[in-house]
Amino acid sequence: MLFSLDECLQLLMALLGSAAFALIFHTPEKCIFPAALGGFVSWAVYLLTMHAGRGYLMACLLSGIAAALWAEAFARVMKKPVTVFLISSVIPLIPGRDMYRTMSNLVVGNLGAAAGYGQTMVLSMIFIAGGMSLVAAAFLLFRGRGRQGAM
Amino acid sequence: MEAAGIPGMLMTEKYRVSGRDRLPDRRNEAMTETMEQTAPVIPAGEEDALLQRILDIGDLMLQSGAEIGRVEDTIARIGNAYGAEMDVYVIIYSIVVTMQYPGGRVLTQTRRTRGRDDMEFDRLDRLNDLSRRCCANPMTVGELAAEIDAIRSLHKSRLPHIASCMLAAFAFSLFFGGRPADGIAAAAFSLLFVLLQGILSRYSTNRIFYFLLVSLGVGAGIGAFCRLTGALFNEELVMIGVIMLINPGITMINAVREMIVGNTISGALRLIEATIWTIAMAAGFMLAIHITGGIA
Repeated sequence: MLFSLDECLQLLMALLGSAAFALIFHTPEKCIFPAALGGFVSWAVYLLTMHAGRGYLMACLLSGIAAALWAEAFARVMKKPVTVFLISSVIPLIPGRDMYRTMSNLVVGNLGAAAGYGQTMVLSMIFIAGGMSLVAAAFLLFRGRGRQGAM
Repeated sequence: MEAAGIPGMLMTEKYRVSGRDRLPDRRNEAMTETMEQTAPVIPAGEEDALLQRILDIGDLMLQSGAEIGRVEDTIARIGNAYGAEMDVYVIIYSIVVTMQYPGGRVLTQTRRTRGRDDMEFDRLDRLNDLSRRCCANPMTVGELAAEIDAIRSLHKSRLPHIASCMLAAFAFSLFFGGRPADGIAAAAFSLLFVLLQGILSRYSTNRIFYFLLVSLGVGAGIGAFCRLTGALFNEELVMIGVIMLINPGITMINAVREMIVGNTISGALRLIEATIWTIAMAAGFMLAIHITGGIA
């Protein structure tokens, strides 16, 4: 099997969670499913990269790139702004567990563990943002003159 | 003689160099195309009102979660469609626009924006659509104002919002490894979050206290609940489900992205803010754990 049972559950919940956030952000109805699917795809890329033994930073970078590519593709197909699909696709990548563990370790006084989780959290976010920006920069390079397409 | 590429570093007769001479500026290319067609001129008395409406659009876009680059681009394109040369500078708290009309009239207006990190994609999509239509067929100022008011007064009912918050809390609690019971508890406490969010957003303008009080309230609730129900629920996973609703993680990621794509001031500003909000949220949770630890 490509994914273990736990991971299949994670993928399903990533899909549901991204859909829920798409609803919270008042995404237009036609765009909700692509946005949710983007969350599924980005988490799938994350898991696959981890399976390949590349480590969590590379996983964050590649899944950020995947989410951004997905969002750019659908933005052009559906003629909506990229942000609409991008934010919902990136939601499952946010390091919620690291954030919680940083805080709870700070409360009990384990500064070492807190620093470790905090570092993981910050680096994850930087690499996700890096992946998104790489794709944004690439598309800006090839943008046509005066094109009023999905930006 | 002025060497292209290093203006300002040579002593020349022109003491003031236009920034536009330095780099090819894509934003004004669209203007050249428009000028070759017959650019519709709005009545001279309405130029100020037009700029106010354009600033309205930019302000609403920022409030809806648009990126800085998109807002600058949209404002510039709309202005170009009306025949003006545009100088636009946007950060999350301010929009500064100068319009220069072919007749020589120059207008500058600024707008202080609220700087919230909300996301309203329906509104963003409609604004984007409005700007596209306006660039294709420039509207009168009255029509533009009516369109903007229609978008601004879009009313969203609360019930779907509450349901989606519950679904999000449930989904992410399970995503991070919780059992269905943890997910249901997270969904229930997301109601508490929505309640606190509703109260505090209305009465508190300081977002730092908002994060502190919301996480204190939610953390205390979950902590007390988990103490009272013994080992039935995994406190960590219930909390993580609700934290995903509160947390400014997406704001941080957007901030880093803004910095990388070149809007360094806005990105750094938002990143520092988001960091402070995260610290406030952590402080709220820590206080809650202290309090509920006392209950056990």
